[in-house]
Formats: sequence, C-alpha cells, structure tokens
Amino acid sequence: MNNIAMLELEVKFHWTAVAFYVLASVLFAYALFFRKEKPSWWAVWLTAAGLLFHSVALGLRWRVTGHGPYLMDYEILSSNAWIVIFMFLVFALKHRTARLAGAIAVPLGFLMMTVGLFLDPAVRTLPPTLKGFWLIVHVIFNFLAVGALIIATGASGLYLIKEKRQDDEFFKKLPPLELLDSYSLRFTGLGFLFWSIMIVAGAIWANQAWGRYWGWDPVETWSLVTWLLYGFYLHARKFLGWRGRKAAWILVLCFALSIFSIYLIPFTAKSLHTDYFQG
Amino acid sequence: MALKRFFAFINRPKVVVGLILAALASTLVGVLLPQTGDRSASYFEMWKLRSPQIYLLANSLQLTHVYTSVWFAALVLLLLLALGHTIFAQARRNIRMISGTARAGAPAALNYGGILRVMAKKRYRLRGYANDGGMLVFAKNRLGIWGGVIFHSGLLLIIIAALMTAAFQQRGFAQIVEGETFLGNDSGFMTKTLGFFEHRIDAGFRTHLSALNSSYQGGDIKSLGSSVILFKGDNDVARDVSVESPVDFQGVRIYQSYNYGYALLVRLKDPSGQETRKALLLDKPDRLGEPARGRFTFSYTGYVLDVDFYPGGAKPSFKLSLPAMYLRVSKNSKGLFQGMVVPGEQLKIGSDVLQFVGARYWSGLIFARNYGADLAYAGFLIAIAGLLLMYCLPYKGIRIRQSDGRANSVEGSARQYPAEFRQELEGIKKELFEANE
Repeated sequence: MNNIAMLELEVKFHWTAVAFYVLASVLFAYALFFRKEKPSWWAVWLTAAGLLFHSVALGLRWRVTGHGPYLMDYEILSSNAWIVIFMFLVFALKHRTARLAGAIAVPLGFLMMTVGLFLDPAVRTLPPTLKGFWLIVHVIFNFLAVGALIIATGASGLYLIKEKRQDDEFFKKLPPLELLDSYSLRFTGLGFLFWSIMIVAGAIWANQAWGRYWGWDPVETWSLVTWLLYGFYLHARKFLGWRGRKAAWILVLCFALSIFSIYLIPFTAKSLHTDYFQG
Repeated sequence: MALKRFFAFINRPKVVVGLILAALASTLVGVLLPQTGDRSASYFEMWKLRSPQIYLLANSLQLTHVYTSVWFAALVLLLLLALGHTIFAQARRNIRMISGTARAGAPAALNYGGILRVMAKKRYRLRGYANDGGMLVFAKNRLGIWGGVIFHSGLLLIIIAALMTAAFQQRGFAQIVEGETFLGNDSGFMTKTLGFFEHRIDAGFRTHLSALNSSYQGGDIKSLGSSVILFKGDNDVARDVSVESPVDFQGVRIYQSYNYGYALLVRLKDPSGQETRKALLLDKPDRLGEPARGRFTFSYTGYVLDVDFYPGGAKPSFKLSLPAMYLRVSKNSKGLFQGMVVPGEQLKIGSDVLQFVGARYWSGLIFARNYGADLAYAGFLIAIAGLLLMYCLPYKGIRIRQSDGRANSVEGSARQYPAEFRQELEGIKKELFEANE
C-alpha cells in the first residue's frame, strides 16, 4: 500500500472513530439524564471500539510520516484525544461505578479530534530540533498530564452533578461523593507529576537545542502558569482544607484556564515552539 | 525571636498559598503584558506615545520587565525562604514520626496469629509496638513521607540555579559567513544575553566556519549543522556543530541555532578605483520558492539596495545552485537600476561600478556559558523523585490493639487520599476480624 492510500485510509479510520465516540457520548448523556445503567455500559464498549479505530489511524499516520503524532495541530489534537479516551477507559474499567465520567471525557476527546480533522493534514518532516530522547519524554508526559487532568476534571464534574441529586436512586450508584472528591485529588496529583516531568524534559531539551533551559518563552511561561495553578489547588486542599464542592469548582476553573496553555497558546503565540505547531 | 516569628509567618498555610498565587499572578503579568526582552525599543516608544499614562504606570511598577524587577526578586527571595523553612519543618516532623513512641520490632514471645499474615498480604510492614506488644504499629510506603522534603529541596535547587543563571550567564549569538573567522570578542556578537554581574562575553578562541551543512525534504529542513575549526593559540580543532549536537570547547558550549541564511558578497568601485566590499546578510526565506529579501545601504554613497535573492535561480530551492538576485538600486528615492543579477556580473550605477561577487551561506552560532545548568538538572531530578514518592508511595500507618493474637481495634491515618484509605481500612478491619474467628 503506498503512502497516499495509507493516508486516505487513516482519515477514514479517524472519522470512524469519531462516529463511535459520538454514539458513545450520546449514550453516556442518555444514561446520565435518564438514569439508565445499561446504556452507560454500551457507551464504554463503543468507546473502546472507537479507540481501536483511532489507534489504527494514528498507527497509519506514524508509518507514513516516520515520526510520532506530535507535529502540527492535526496530529496533536488527535493524539491528545487518544490519551484522554485511553485513560478514561482504564479508569472506567478499574472503577466501574465511575464510568459516567465518560459523559465529560468522551465528548471532550471527540471534540478535540474533530477540530483536528478539519485542520491541515499535511505531512511534515521532523525538524532537527524536534529529534531526540527528551522530545519523546516531553511529548509523552504532556499527553499523560492532559489525560490525567481531564479525568480529574471529569470526576469533579460528576461530584458537582451528584451533589445536587444525592437522593436520586440512579446517582446513588455513582461512587460516594467522598470518593469522587478523592479521585479528583488523585488524578490532579498525577497530572501535576506528569506536567512537572513534561516541563523538566522540555527544559533539558531546550538547553540541548538552544543553550538555555528557560527563556520565559510564551509556551514555556504558560506551562508554568498551569503548573502553578494546579500547585495552588493541591496546596489549598492540603493546607486550607478545601474539599468537596469548593475544591470541585476550583478544579474546573483551573482546567478552564489551563486550556489556554494546552490548546490555545501553542497555536497562536509567537514563540520558538510555535514554528512547529503552526506549520 | 523576630526571625522565628518571621518564619512562623511565612509558613502559615494561607501565606504559603498566597505566595503561590503571587507567583502565578506575576507569571501571568509577564506573559500577558509586553516585555522589554520580547519587543523592540520602538514598540515601547509607540506605546508611550499612544497611552502615556498607562505606559508610565506599567513602567514605574516594572511590569514591562517582570522577571528582572525588584518586586519579582523579592518574591523569589520569599519563596526561597519559605521553601527552606518548609523543608526543615517537614524533615523534623518526619524524624519525630519515625522515632515516635513505638519500640522497633516486636516482642518475640507473643503470638500475633493471623494479624501479621493479613497485614503482609496488604503489604504493610510491622514497624514497632507499644504497651508490651498490646499495640502493633504497621506502615506502608514509609519512604513516601520524604516525598515532600525531597520535592521542595529540588525546587529550592532549581530556584538557586535560576538565580545563578540570571546572575552569571553569558550567551551570545554570532553570524558567521562561510570561509570567515569569528574572533570571539564581545563586540563581534550580534546579540548577547548577560547575567546581572556580567558585562561582556568573550569566547576566548576563534571560530572559522568551513561550511554550513543542510538538507531538506520537500520544503522542510531535515538537518542543519556547521563545520567549524576552533583555534586556541597554536591548536586548532575541527568540529561539527549541529542542531541536536552542541560542541564543548574551552568551557564554552557552541550551539547551532536555527537561524541561517545567505551572504551576498558585493563590491562597489568608485571612479578613482577605490573599492568597498560588503556582505549583504539575508535570512533564509520562510517558505520554499520565496526569495530571501533585504534592504541595505552603502552609507557614505547614499545608495540603497533592495534585494530579492533566489538561491536556486529558476527553481524553488534553499540550496545555492544557480544563485541570482533581483536588485533595485536607488539614491535619494531615484531609481538607478532594476533587474536580475548573477554572480560575476558588473553593473554601472551612476559613476560607480557594482559587482555581485558571489553568494555563500552564513550560519548563526550560539556561544554560551551557563553556570546554573548542572544545578538545575540536579534540582529537576530531585524534584521529580520527590513527586514520585508523594504520589506513588503515599504513606499509610495502621495501629492495631491486640491480645493473644486477636485484633481488638484498628485505626489508621494516611498522608494522601484519606477517603480511599478509609475504604482500604474497612477492608483490612473486615479481614482481621474474620481472621480472629
């Protein structure tokens, strides 16, 4: 199969995955609003099926481009969506009662992917500064961090929804509020760890490529802003005793603000980094 | 006494959280407002003209150079002090916890029955006992209690490294034309980044650029590097510097920057025979097929040269294969020449003769001495190790009151995730009481 045929197949697999995710999102929403249990399980399996197609699509893309899916908006959004969906599935299969977090995680995932699919899918060669071990570490942990933080935000979202409907028989099947609160903290802690590794790997890579490990570049500075945001959340939980609804709302706000650094700044700001993101 | 009160103050939870928020706010200001390091002087002149009061306010509060401002330095100092005290206080607390009231090991004569079996299955280790064995102390992930200390120590090192870099770094960018030698003097650098206590950067050796080596795939660059000869005294060393492989020489690290372009060598001869040679330095175009553009002057003559340079001539290329330039020469806004010029060609410009001698590449090399880098790397490693301990090995402690190997009561505490720990504790209680039966 030649490269053009593989790229055409890749697009088809991507859209098939989107279709599965859309169906899964509809079922999750249906399960949540109409308080049905079975549809939420169908949604999980549809998500898993979608992830299979998504994996094949990314694999084909990798084969053609010769590098991982971390160059250009098209690839980054798709691979970010993959990691979010993958982490959600692991979380949902391990903590079965928390699968309704898919009502937040899966739509976020397919929205990212769909936006990416409308962008330029041109294949780019990996520039010299984007080669190396630390780049791979940087990108992997960026994806893991985003995935963990989205799961944490999903758990907080579930907390806020359940808190208002505690007497509802359906919502009683969700994990207890205390546990949802704990999941938010745990996944935020993981996200903070992964984000820290991402920043460190980026700093080492920058020092090797440009001779300085920190230059207050907009992308670097916004990643520090995100790190400080979550650092504030974790300290507020530990030292100010913030938990429950207050902590959930703060986490949702932190995530909303960190959307800037994760999705907007790399694609808009003038920076050493953005030559590659902006094409 | 005052010192004690000061440290007690900055270690208060609300003050710690406040410091983090202050760091967050200052970082946001630095990224949202134009900074002097990112914009040209003319940008700020225009700002001053358009909004003098806002500019005055921003400038007097040092918001246009946040990272070198007095208040940012004060914030960093406070953070350093808070971190230092946190590390000390946490370490002291951990040592007290480990030494505790429980005696190590366990009295051998007593029978603990299923208790040890159940706890071993849950990966809890017996750490000590009290009341002559009436109370057993178990713990899991004891190493995890040091996570906070180690993480904050790493952060402390990183901040110290950053201060060292800010104080002593030397970083200079030089444009070197193929076939020419850069002397390495301070005045030869095109741009410099110097620490507070540094006033100049001298490489201490000469650098001769033999060739710029680049390859492309489609319109994208695939590899970029410079072949250089480094001279120190009578010694010379040939090295290849590439984007992913910097070179160390005489305490200086040389990086291949992503900036490179074309040097068009021209010669202007006046009627008396006096020659002026000039290298017109052009940045490589952003896209394949576009020309490299620039405007130059021969200042004492008043000639202005507008150049569109095509390295590949007729075909789109970054390679110097059939170089040609589209040249427009003017003086006092009057056009004197317009047309394509190839290497070797001579033009009559007024009473002078301009010759396009040839084209070569120029390469941008960065020369850097960064004294804080190794300490920063150590800080990174330590901070990550601390975080891994905190989040992957959260400490949990369980105390079991027992008699004749039967658990009577179970209580515990966890540093992280108390709700999940309570679930785990309920499970352990259930198993212990079942083992009693």
